[in-house]
Amino acid sequence: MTKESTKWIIVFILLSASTVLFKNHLYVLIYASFFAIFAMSWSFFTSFSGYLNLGHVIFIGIAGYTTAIFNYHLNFPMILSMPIGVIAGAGGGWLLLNPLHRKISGLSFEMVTFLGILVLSDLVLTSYLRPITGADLGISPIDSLLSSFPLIIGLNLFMCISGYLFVRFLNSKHGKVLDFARKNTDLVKTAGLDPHKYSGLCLLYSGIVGAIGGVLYIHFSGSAGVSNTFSLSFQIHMIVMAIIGGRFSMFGSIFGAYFVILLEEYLRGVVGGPVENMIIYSIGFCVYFFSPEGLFPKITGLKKKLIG
Amino acid sequence: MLADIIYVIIYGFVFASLYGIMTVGFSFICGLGGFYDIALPAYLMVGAFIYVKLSEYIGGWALPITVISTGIICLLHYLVFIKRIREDAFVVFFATIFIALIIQSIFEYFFTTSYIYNYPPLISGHINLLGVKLSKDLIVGGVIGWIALFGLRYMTRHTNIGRAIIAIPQSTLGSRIIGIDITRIQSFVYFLGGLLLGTGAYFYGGYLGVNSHMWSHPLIIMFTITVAGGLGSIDGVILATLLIGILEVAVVTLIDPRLRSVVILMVGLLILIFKPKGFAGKRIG
Amino acid sequence: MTILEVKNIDKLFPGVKALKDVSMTIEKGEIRGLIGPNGSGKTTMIRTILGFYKQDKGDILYEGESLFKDDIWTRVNKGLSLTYQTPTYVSGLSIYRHIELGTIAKNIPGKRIYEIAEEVGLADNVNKDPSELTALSAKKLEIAKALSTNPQLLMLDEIFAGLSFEEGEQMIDMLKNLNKEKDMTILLIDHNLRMVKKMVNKTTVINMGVVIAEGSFDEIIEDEEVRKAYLG
Repeated sequence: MTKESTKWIIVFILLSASTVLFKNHLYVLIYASFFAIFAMSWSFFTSFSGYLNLGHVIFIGIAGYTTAIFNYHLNFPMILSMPIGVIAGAGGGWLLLNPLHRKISGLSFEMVTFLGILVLSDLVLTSYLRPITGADLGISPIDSLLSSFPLIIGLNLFMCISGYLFVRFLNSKHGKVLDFARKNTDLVKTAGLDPHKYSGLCLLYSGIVGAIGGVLYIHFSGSAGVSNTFSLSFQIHMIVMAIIGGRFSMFGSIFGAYFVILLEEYLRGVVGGPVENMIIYSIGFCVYFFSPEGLFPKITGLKKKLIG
Repeated sequence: MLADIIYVIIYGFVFASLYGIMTVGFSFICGLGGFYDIALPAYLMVGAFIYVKLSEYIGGWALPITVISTGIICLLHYLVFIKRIREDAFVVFFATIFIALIIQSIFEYFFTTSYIYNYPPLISGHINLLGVKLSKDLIVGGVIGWIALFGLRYMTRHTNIGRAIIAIPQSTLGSRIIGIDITRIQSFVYFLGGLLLGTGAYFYGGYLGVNSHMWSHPLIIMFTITVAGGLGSIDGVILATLLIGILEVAVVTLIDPRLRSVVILMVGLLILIFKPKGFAGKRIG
Repeated sequence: MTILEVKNIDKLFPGVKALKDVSMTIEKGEIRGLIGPNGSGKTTMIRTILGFYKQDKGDILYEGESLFKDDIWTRVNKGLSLTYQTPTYVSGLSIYRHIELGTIAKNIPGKRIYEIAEEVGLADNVNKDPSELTALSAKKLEIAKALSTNPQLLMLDEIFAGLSFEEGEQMIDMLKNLNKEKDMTILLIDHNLRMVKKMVNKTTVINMGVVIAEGSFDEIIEDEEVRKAYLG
């Protein structure tokens, strides 16, 4: 067994143990795991391809709306509508973003994905699409996944397997090419390699994991609406988590997601929604300003210092 | 049909001037620094709220105070945050998104997300122009906007600081060599951009309503006008704002108001793909 | 046998015509010099051959086939390769990683990486960061990177710039060796006429984007127009 797989098995065991310890808060842990999956799949593409993707929710959104539409309008059972959603989400999102990242680079890519989300949520809300998307009411009710042990264990297993595969990808020759591509694409081209082929693959894997997380999340929520698919705050949330935890490691995203969800759960009892958001955004801003590599590397660094 | 066209053109011109003055600062800042400052439309929102709240107490005097305070806020924003991180465009992008969202949540806390509509215009009454009913306030705003835009164009040709604003985007390295003080120029542009944003805030808010989430549509407009015109180009802004202003009014009146963001962003996207340098000026990234 | 044929190409940049109706034919196994004063269009020429720029007119044939539709990486995989004028690398990734990058596309086995390092004289430095290298070693890394893709035609952009006379001599030995043992065609762009003279079979002179002379080194150096271009 490799060192990397051992690490992921340990993470899986720890997360599973926490579900037993905090079984009265299973709901919160499930949320944290969902966001860990989203944050991890976002940072996988964004941190390692050199493209800041602010439209990761497009994968989640298309996947989520597709499964909801098939389940609600066409009465497909969840077990069938979910794979359809994953294919539509990962495939559709990739077909939109892959040519875009080939055509426009750097800041303009960020800006377009960022504004694209604003516009997509507007589109979903228009009355033209009301018969299909339900506009501001969303699609509800759809079959739901109940908050349960099998769900959280399954989610954690999926998260750890994807995380492990992400790391494997980054250590493969694909990852090696990306190490160069995000700093200097010309070097990659003159080495006889198409840099976008590698970043495109990275985008696809990030999208598949996002889309799988997305269909599960929509059925866990029991409805598909803008707020749990195409919304900007949903997107920013996963980014904040990855930034707080440390977006250059998969464990960082998981740490960040658990940290933010647990903090929000605590804050919910103390202050209202806008203040809660303000605190989370401010933490994200401060971490980004003062410690751009995130908190997780800081903590592991501290541990190393203490142990020696 | 003819009436529609006249309507679209007249309102298009008025909105173009409004969007133009909102965008000038954003475009110059992009050209000078090579980054997008997402917080600027949030300061438009701040300006609109300042006006709404102040005008309850002091009426029309709120406008100059709004304009000046928005200018100062933008200048402080530059000196406190942007100056430290301006070398890295990605950091500026993220940091300013956070700033915009923090501002949004602060205003959401105090004023919820509901819209404040129809605060009284400074100049009341309407006139009829070729069969199109226009508020006098908006006409004055439109005229002032166009004067400001062409005034800026004059400034970029006939003053040292104006020439520097145009010269730097052409060659950052060159300007450093000949010793232009970039901090001084950026501070000036942030302040000037802030004054114009404050002016724009009064008209934008008065016509389209004020709420704590209102900054996203102005951002789309600023972005599209900037990429269409070419970064940091005043001629580009004038040309692009006219196009976007007329296009937006056309979409809103002839098709569907809810599609305006979509259409404008699509235009921005197409220009980025097919004409990445815009009508004039240079590309970013 | 002709390996590369440049046929009447034009390249325009905003406000400048960098190449005007340029033609050049290179035979397999040849060492060709491409010389000219600063800004004459030499670098534009090889960057157009490799596909960084698309020519506005004319065609470039490699082994008889047009390269027009090919991207940079396709051209590289066909056997073209170039060194950058200023050593170009990513700090934080070792010399080994830099050479390895070029072997990925063609699945060249890993032991070749060490062979290349050996050939160019970087064997002791493979685990170092490129930023730690001396000027000569950085130039060697440029050649190692170019060799890692297994090229047939190697284009060297100012490879002697910044090197001392002795270092230049070392470089010449290495390049001549590559040419003889691997039958590698070399297109050499340089200012340093002394170094060029020692290597080339034939030289093309370009000035203001126009080919003004072509022939053996001794012939072109006597050419009236060439003297005028260099001496002003």
